[in-house]
Amino acid sequence: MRRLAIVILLGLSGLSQPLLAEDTPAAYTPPLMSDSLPRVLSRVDKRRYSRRRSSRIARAPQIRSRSRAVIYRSGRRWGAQFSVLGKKQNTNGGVLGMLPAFGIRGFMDFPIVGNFILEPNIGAYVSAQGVAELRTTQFRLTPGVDVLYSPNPVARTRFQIGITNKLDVIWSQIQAFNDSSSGLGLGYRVGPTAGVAFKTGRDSAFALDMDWTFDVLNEGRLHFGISAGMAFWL
Amino acid sequence: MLKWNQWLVAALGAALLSACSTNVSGPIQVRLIQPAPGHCRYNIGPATIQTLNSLTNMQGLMGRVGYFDRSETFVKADLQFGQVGGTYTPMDYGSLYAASLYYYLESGYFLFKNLPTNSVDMAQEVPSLSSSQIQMETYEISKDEEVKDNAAYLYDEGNNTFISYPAGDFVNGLPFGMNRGIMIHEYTHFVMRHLVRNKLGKQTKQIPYDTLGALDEGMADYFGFLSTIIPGTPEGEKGDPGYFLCTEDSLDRDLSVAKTVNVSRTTDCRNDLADYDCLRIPGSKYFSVHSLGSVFAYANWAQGERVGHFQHAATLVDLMRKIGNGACGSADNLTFQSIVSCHSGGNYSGTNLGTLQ
Repeated sequence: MRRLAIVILLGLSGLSQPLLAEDTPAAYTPPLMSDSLPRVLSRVDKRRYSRRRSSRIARAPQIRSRSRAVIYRSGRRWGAQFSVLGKKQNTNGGVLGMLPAFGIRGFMDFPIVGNFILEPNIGAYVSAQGVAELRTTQFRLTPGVDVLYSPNPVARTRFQIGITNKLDVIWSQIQAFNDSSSGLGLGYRVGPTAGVAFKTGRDSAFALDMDWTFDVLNEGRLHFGISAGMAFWL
Repeated sequence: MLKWNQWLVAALGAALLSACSTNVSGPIQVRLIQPAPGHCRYNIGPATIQTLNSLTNMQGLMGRVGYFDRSETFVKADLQFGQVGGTYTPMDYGSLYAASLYYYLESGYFLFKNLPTNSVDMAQEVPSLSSSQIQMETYEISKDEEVKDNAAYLYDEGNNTFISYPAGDFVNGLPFGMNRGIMIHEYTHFVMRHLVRNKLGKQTKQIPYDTLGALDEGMADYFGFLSTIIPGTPEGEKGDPGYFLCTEDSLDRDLSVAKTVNVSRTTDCRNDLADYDCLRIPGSKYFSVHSLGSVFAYANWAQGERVGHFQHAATLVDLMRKIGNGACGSADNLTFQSIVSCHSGGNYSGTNLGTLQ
């Protein structure tokens, strides 16, 4: 049996040796080895290769699932918007029955329970009316807190509704000819709010918010606010 | 030391108290535009409104300030006031306008009530005064055009309406409703209506129209001027006889400019209250009630400069009562000749008014 095995091995080696010796060039390189790895690495090649390897390994897997996005986000959001605030005004001088004020608004979102969000915000507005030499100007600072609900706070298109309440601190100035005078007024508004945000980037969104509030300290006068701007996740 | 949440509660409480207190009754201090010494000079500062029952409704003895909208409904105007240190400040143009209208008409009420002699308390003469409508920036169409740049007083079956129209292209200073002299001009029409026209017991068009209309306009111009007098300083006591020009400088209504009636051409513009082309004085070939009235106002301003304006104003109230009582002749035959001769204390020399038959 041992003799038979030795005969077979010798026979095979005797068959293969002449084939290799005739068809293989002297500088033969195995195809797989040449595509994936140089046989002799220079220092530069080492660096490039090393960087490619390391970036491939360090990069996080691309997140496509909406539900997975929340994993690496804190859920907090801040934003800055241009804003228009209309106050119901039945006398002349308004637009569509409203006296418009223009300004900016900033907010910060904090997730509280489930899909509920607490949103402290502050707005600053200015409105002016005048005829000839007479001019009235109002500067309005509106700190407020919204309680919002969003069915899916991390969705690519996020909808939210809620309740807003705002304190109005109004500085009113009257000017006529060369004289002017001013005074302060206060208001407190409560009402519903709604908004939508469209994702524009990895951590940013275009946010559009509206609110309908009633100034409970001033005969419940209706105010309508619309704000548009950018929101950013922290 | 208060914590932040206590500060928040305190701020909200203060806001609540402040806003609730805007539904106050007079006397109250409201920051408004008021005439100052000099021509077209104004101060903005606290003015005392004395007869107000409700600031937020802008309602009181003088009536109720509201808005006559496009659906021709008289509605409460949207108003907002802030309060700091006991003084209310209008929080927008509409609130400033509404408070100014009420205050100016109230100034007219006290002007007549506080005359040194022959004073008139119109709240006694007209018990329905507090039911008056005071329309701010009224929307009205006349001859297919929106009426702007004007003010008016209307009387209809016992109802008194004071109107200020929106500002248009002609206002170069203060709107008509924000010019105290102009609103007291309208208030004087209200006085004339109840002391003269209603006492005469005839419809306006049954009375020689030019004569009574011109007398009405002249009285109104002069009492409007009186409201610009600010006692206390020599300059303030001169008043502003050109107060109309602070609203529209194309009007020929400066009381201090001498005017004379061109007797031969007094009929061309008869019965035309609104045609301002007729207001060319002097040397004009046309006259309207406004132009004829401005001659009357000039004559009385000149006499007031001589004898003291408030003393002279009292003689005009006396004249109103005499005309209303028929002491100056029957209504059908009322002429400026009879009015001039009936005016004790009047001096119309150089105006030709006494020659108007």
